[in-house]
Amino acid sequence: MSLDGIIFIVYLGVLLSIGLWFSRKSSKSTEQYLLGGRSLGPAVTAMTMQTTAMSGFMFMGAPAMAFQYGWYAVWYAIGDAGGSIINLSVLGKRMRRMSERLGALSPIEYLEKRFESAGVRVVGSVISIVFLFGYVCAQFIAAGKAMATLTGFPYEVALIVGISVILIYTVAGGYLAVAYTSFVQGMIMVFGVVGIGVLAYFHVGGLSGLNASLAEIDPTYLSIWGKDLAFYGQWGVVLGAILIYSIGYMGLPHVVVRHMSMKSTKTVKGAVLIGAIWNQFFIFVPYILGMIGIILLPTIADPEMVITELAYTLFPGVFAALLLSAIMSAVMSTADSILMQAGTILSRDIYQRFINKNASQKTMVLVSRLCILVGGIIGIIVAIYEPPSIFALVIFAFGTLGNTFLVPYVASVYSKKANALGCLFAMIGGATTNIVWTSMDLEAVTGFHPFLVGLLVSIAGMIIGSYFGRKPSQDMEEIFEESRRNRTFSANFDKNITRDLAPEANQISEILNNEGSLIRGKYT
Amino acid sequence: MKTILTQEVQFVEKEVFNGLIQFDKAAEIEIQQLIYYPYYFFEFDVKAKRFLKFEGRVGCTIDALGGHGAIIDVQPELKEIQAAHLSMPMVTVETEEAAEKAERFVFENASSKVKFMTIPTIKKVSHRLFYRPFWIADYKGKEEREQLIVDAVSGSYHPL
Repeated sequence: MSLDGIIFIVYLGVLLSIGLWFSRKSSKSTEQYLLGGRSLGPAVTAMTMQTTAMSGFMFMGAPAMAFQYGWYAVWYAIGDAGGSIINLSVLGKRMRRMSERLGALSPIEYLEKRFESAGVRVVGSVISIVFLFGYVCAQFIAAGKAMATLTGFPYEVALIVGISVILIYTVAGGYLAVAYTSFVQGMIMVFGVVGIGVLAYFHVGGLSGLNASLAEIDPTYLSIWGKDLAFYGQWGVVLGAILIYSIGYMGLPHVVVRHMSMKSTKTVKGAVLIGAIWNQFFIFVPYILGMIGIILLPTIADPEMVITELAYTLFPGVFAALLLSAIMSAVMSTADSILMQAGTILSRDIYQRFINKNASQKTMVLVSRLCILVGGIIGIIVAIYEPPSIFALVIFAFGTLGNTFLVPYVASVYSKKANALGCLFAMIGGATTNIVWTSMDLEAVTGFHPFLVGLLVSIAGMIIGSYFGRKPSQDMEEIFEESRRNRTFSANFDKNITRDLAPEANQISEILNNEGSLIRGKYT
Repeated sequence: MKTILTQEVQFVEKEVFNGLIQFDKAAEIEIQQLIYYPYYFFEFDVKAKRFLKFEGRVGCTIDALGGHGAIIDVQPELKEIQAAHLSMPMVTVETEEAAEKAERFVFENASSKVKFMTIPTIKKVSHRLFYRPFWIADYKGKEEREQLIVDAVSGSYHPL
């Protein structure tokens, strides 16, 4: 095995040891609870967030896109960064308010409650699972490529080794990777990427040097329409590129687990904000590195390896191997949490709802683990026999997700008449259109991005379905009206609201409305 | 006279006022009254077989009005106080119902977050009912008056 392979094994060993040490420590603690997350200081919290955001897509997919198209690829980054802007917009605020009123813990549960239909949840879950497996497959391909570079094995062998490592890591140290190991990984990746970024940036003479060199090779790299003006005048393609990420995230089936601190936590909020700002910065770096790759690595065989190759070019081999090990670990932790999420959705929303209503919790966990196994095997087969590009796979997954959820989300707060049938038509129509348009490559014929066409079909589905479907209940209409009422807080005040307190606020508000005052000294 | 278990107020009126005004210096803020919100507190022993050891306690609360669960970080420090003259809503979630919800909540959380392949076993160790203090505050910016609750233990807030 190469020296790089040994470094990778030592790296994993060190991560597991850190995890083991902290797991022993926390097992002995009688006062501090597991899963409570209190031991994480602000720096660890911020770094953990960063590691979660880093995935195979970021290290391999994004630079490859920029390598291929030049500045055009930055449209995707703008959309990615825009996700948080949408969250702060009127749509985001209304959705948040309605979600609080409905007591929904995840975006899909929100749709189920707003449209008063279990079918909405099932369809949403199935589409999310397809997306998750597409995304996990992209992580597998990234893992295979990273392992091939580290070990010198052929891609297929490296892929199997890489995925075996993911599985062992999941069983052995998955939980531990959540906290301190993420901190160590985050540090290596942040310094590594910043290091490569700074060295490469000055190497090409800054942004102006980069642009001048790009223009020399091919001036169309600088165009917002892509190399060779491939997408000239196609606003449909550009709009789709921007919207994919900003909307796609909303469909992620994240379940928010409420945490409640038993002691004052004044510092955490700051850490979260710092983490969010870091994330915004890191969205753009891989794309810039992809463009630097056009100049420094013009003959690279696989553009998805731009960052890795830059690391080996600019750093001593040992550091490059260390960075690649950290990337591999990031890919592993992303892949295993996605598999976990997909397994949970399948067992809860499909198995328990349709197959075995009285399933015990243990059976549910078994089903979810089986799903993970099956999904993992399918992922391996696809990654070996038909490996698409990581970027194409992720864009397809996010596109399908966006086409499924954008219209239902917007309609949920802007249209009082929007109902379950409309939501189902919009979701199924949008997703199907995106899948058909992408698989038949209709973009090349029509000049319309699959996302834009999916969006139009989804809108039509919502209008038609809502016209024929059952009217929303009176309770729902009341909640709809309430969520439209603007709160008059200043932006800064609104930003610092703790959303986890929504259930308490709802209860107290109801009591005050019903009784006028609280029961005083009831127990006396 | 009945005594109840509560968490101590960490943020007194002046601190709450200062905490809120820092986010909007132009706002008129008035701290109204303190209310005691009921929660069930549960402690579980959680164990799972894996390569590395995963064994320890997990704490959670169940909101005794709405039944919502929350994972907690440390054991709450509780003290007994006389309930007379305190504003507190009536508990609407029974202990048994809360215990079931807590067990399900902790199990789901542990099995999705901890990522072990074997199924975790969880065993209830203790439970009790306690009250957490919240301030009710009025906020007036440029337009209408709004009401807020402010958690007197953590200082975080949410509009009503």
